[in-house]
Amino acid sequence: MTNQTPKVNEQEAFIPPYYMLILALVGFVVALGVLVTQPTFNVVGWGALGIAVLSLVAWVLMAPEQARSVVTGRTARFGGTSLLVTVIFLVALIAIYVVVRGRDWRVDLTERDTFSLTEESRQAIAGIGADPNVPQVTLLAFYNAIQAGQRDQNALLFEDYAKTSQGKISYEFIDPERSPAQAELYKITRPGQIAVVAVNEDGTLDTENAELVNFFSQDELTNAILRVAAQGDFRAYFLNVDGGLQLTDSGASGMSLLNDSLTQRYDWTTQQVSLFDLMGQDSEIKLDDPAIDGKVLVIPGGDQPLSDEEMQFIADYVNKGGSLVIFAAPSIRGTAGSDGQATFSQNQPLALAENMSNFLWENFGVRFTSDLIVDPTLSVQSPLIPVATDFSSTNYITQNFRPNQEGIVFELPHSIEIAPTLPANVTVDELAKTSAESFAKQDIQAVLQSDGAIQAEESDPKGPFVLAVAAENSATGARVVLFGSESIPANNFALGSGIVNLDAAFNSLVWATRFNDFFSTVNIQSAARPQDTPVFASDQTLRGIQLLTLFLLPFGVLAIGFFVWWNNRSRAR
Amino acid sequence: MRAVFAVFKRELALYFRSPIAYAVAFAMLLFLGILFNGNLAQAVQYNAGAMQQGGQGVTASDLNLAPSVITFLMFLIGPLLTMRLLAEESREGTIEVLLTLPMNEAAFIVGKFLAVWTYYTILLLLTVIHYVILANVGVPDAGLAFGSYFGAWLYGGAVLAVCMIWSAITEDQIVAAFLSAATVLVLYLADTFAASLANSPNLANAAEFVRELGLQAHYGPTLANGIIRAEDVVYYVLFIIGALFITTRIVETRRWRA
Repeated sequence: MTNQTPKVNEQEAFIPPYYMLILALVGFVVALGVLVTQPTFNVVGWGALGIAVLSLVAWVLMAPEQARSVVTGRTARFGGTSLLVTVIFLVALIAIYVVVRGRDWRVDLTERDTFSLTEESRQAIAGIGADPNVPQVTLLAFYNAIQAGQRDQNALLFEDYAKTSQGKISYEFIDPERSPAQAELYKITRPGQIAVVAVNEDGTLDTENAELVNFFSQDELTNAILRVAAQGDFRAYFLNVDGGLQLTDSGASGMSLLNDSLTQRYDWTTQQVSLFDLMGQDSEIKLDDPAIDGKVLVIPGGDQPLSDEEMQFIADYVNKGGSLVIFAAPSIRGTAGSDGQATFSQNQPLALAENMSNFLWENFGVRFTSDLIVDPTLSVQSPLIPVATDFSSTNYITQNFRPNQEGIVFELPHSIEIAPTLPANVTVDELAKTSAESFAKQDIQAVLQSDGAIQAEESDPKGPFVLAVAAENSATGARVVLFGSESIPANNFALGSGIVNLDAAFNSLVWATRFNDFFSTVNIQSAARPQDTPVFASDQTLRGIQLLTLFLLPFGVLAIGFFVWWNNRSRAR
Repeated sequence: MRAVFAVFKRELALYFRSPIAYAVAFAMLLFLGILFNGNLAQAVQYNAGAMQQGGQGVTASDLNLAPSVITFLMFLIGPLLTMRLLAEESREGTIEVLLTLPMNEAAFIVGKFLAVWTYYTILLLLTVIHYVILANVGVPDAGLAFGSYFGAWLYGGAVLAVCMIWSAITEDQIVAAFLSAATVLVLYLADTFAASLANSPNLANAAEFVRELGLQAHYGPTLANGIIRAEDVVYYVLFIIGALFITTRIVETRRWRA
């Protein structure tokens, strides 16, 4: 009897060798993850790669037979070659893709030119390219990584801008999350906004005057480019007159909102000046400077008549083709007493002074009337603050105002008289009129003593009254706009639902300087395409479509399938 | 070439004799029909109101959604059309017989792929009826429609090619279909995954890489909107070539595996 001891497998290791292979695989995966996800191949990546290599070496040492068979076996000989060929082939495909991707060939097939310039934009941008005086413009598109698809789409359009402008327009994509300082510089509040910036002569970007396009649309972008590229010089000189409104005053009776609109949005130059400044021989302001594209003299109220010398200066300027806008001060002024109560007194406005009235009447056939328009039906707060809702649909100043839906608020207004026969070459547009229920009070003293209850009397002229006019002399090119109240440019009524005082004031300056002609070249609107036509179908058509697409087509295919199946079944039998 | 055509002809004929191909077509057309009619009825109703208020209406181009919807449905259509192609041949042992014929594996695979792609093309063309209808009730953008159909055709080819890899790997049709569906979904959702990665500034490169890898990034923003980019077309073509090459190599292993 022999004593048999169990045979111990000496090859069996404490750790199975394939554990090393698993560890190596994990190491390689982690290293690959680090390579792909991290900006640099950091210590974790190197560590994982080291572990992977060491594990492979350990596996070879622990199971040399296995390792040998992998390298020299049948699978290795055929499979290795196959794997190598596959890897090389795939790398070649990736290389081809990378080369093509770098070329960036693309074409927009849409008939609506969604991703290429419309005819209107193309003409405008080509004009920029052809004009040597227009500066270079850069589009900074602030798209984050999530908006990669949008970036791919819009790159096509940006490329078209660059080509059409003959390189005058360039573009750059900036990730606002990776470049927060840049985003802050251009006041980017959310990804997807585009900053349009002119390039200064020294190559720096004119960040101060950058235009921001909030929602991507071709028209918006083209207009922003044109505004940035436009080198128009437009100026508004607001006369500093006694009792007149102040340009930078942000209070209720100031004009800061109008000033902001002109300077910040449309890059105008505004200035509050005295006539003394303008009339001086050494004055820096030259009203006849031909280098200025457009200028306008604005009289914002005023309680004292101009001197004859001052009036002559204005008359000379206007008669040479100048532009003048007058906002008439009221005939009633309120002043706060020592007890806090307001006291009212009659006032002699500048606009109604004899020299001004004569000038306007003789040269343009219009003048302010010494009255006070009251409207008990269509007014704000008091019948003394009527609202005009009847607008001229032909003049630029009011053509976009919606009659009876929007209104211009006139505080303590004067009506405007129009001569039955206008001077030669003069045309006058009635811009705004009050309602038929309004009436005119000519006895201001009686109004002051009426204690607020103002009633129409038989002798009072009845409305509607013209409270704003635009007059033009086609021979001299002079343009004059008169408003019967100084509340039009004032902050007090600038904002409010349905109130268009600020627009009226702004538009009057635009029209007087012909900025609208200039602006139309920097404000395009693409024409509607046939593809923009909405779909329409009668109920009967819809039923026909339902029958075709819900029954005939799918169930027809199903019936054919059933027939084929039945046929096969019969054949099989 | 003759071998490719022979396999192509045989496989295409099989599709038209198989009830499953008709069932897939029926399901797809019914689903698209329901979607199309629902959208069209809503659009007509909306436009009637919008025109009264002077607003912008829904255009015919907004309603031509069939190609985009099909690209989404490819995670179902692709596996259903390809699961049988190679897995069934392996299970029934006919693949060994076929491989003894005087043709190489590549011709065999390309022939099968062209057959399934042709069948898919016919499915896609059936949905052009929606475009024709839209042309009767509005003015669809022909360029945009061409781009989206062309893209959907290439997209479908890429999906079918990648599904064939799984059909070659496994003998079980159900397993092949499931793995194919999972792969196509991952490739479809790569765009979404990339967007979630992009939330972390450190992962922006990875996000871009994942996005470029996915199928949707080369279709949704560009081809589906009428933009033909060379890189997108080349991506799909190379994707198809790569997937077919891998499938061929897998089938080829049968020669030396045993």
